[in-house]
Amino acid sequence: MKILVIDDEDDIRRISRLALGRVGGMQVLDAASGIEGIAKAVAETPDAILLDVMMPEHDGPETLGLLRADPRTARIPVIFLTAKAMAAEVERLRALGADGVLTKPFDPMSLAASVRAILGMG
Amino acid sequence: MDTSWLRSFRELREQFAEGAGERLAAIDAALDRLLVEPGDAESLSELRVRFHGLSGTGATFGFPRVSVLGVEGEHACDAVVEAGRPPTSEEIRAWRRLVQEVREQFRADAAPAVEVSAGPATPVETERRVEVLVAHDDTEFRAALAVHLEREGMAVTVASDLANAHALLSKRVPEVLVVDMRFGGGEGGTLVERLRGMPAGDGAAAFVVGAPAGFMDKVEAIRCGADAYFEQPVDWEPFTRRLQQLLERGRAEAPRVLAVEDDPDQAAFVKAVLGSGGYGVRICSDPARFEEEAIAFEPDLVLMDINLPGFSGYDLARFLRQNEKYAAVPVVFLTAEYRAQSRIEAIRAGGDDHLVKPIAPAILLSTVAARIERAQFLKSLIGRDGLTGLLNHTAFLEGARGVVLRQSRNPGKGAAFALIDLDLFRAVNDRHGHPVGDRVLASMGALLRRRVRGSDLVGRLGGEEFAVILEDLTEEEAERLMNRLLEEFSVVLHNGADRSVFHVTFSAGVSGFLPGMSVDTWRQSADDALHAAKSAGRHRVARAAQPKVAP
Repeated sequence: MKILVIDDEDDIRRISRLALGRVGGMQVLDAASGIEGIAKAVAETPDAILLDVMMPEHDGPETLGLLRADPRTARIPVIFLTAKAMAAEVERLRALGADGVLTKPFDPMSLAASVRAILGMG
Repeated sequence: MDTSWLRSFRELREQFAEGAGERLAAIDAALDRLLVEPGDAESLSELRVRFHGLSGTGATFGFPRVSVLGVEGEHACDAVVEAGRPPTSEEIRAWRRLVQEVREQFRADAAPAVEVSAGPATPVETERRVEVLVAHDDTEFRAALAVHLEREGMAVTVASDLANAHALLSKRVPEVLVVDMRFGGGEGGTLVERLRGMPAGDGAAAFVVGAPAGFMDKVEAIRCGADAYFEQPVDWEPFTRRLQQLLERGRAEAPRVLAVEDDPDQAAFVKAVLGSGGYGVRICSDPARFEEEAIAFEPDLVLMDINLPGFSGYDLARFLRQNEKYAAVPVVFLTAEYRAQSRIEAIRAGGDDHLVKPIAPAILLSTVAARIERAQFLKSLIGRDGLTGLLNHTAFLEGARGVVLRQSRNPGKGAAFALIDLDLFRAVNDRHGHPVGDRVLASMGALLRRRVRGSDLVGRLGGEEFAVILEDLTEEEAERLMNRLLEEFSVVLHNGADRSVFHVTFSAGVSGFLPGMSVDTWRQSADDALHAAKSAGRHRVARAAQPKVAP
């Protein structure tokens, strides 16, 4: 399975690579901004996208909108990654059309399992 | 492959800690600008983003406190933005202090957290008060709650409004949170969510108390992460009982895993994975010392490599199974052998599971968790007294044998055996009937559970006789503790027949462990002291007579 991680923080991209790749056995691509992420999503058609909510310029919700608007990427499941664990925030993100919401900080040991569970591959 | 995972994680963690200097410098710079120009919205916004970044990363890299501080900083920024005014110099100073504390987190990081195994849980201080945070507008309820909880020795803090409640929460995670969903204009649930989102917030007990509610309200409370929903007026007995249950859950010791593994890399991997999962891990690298390690460590699960120097893991498992005491301890084999024959062999040797290396950390953790949970559940069914939930006679003496062994090997600060017998208990049963008597026994059990550490042994030996073994306490300290318990118990009002109320007292004998004692002689010594207390007029604690000096 191929997963794309879009997050502006280097640290988060690196640990996600480890947590999803080494621990979770997935093929991991990453992008440091919404625009770069959309380009990679079009070029590589990953099986799922892990998308940070708070990023400069195009933030997570905006990036999601752009992904959904493009027929080439509209069907790729998107999981938000947010540091706000409030129920209202999770509801808001779901309402935007995300397939799931995961909170930061996450446990690197179980990130892959959480992603799989959301995608119904648990 | 597995150990390279560990190495990579360690490297990333170091990179993160190094990069933290840059993050903190950016925060400092933003604060400098704000000090000169408090209305600088851009700097405030950058500050918020920076704190947000810390909160979202810290715990992932093994710095949970950094996440907590990040959340705190971000919330403080939000509050200023919401108020629509520039930050005050006091607020800027508070941010500086926060940054300083974050910096100390990285500085204090001499040993990476992943390598620190939990080890035996630190005993809960007997005297520390459980902290309770209350967010409820009904003054009458609050007063009643304070009375009931302070009687249980808890410290109650009342939040004045929603903002205050959030501020108190972010300062310190309380052990207990009591909220009304309607608090702060229907925002009570956000407090429970906040609590659950905090590191260590999972272990706290969260109670929702409100007006008689519909089914959906209860569902909403549970969805927020509450442990229980109570309707007003509150029935206090089930309330406190449930509370004690939840607190005890938090106090339980970390389960212990003994890993028999001679390969140092593999051992480091197992220790890191299980340590990060909250287990206490001990590595036994020399199979010849297996028995010794098992006795000293009392594992809840044994993780066994198969190819060991001098022995095979199967031999050790068979050896373990011969001993009645360890017959129920789950054994999980770790092996590079994937052939069916080795699986069959593992099952024959009494193994519960068979994992093939290399093992994904998630699989190792989930296997260990499932095996331990099941074994503990079964153990809890067979070793407990139904009325009080304390250890039964057999289980208590079994535990006592372990203490004697440990004390004989390594006396440390010592240990004390306390034997407790309720005074004139037959009269209670005769006068008020057995159901009332049972309630008195249950309340004695609850008091003992509450007042001793989770690591101490507490049992009901039968009838109205209870026993406690306190490790790391001298006879004198144990006597003091028993006297306090006696004081506390004897003022409890029990409800008897015909609406009468009555008090019950107890007598206790305390005996410190002396080298050379067996469980039987130790217990006898406590029993002699108990008899001395009874014949001196009951309602008192007596210490064992000084041993006669050997001629």
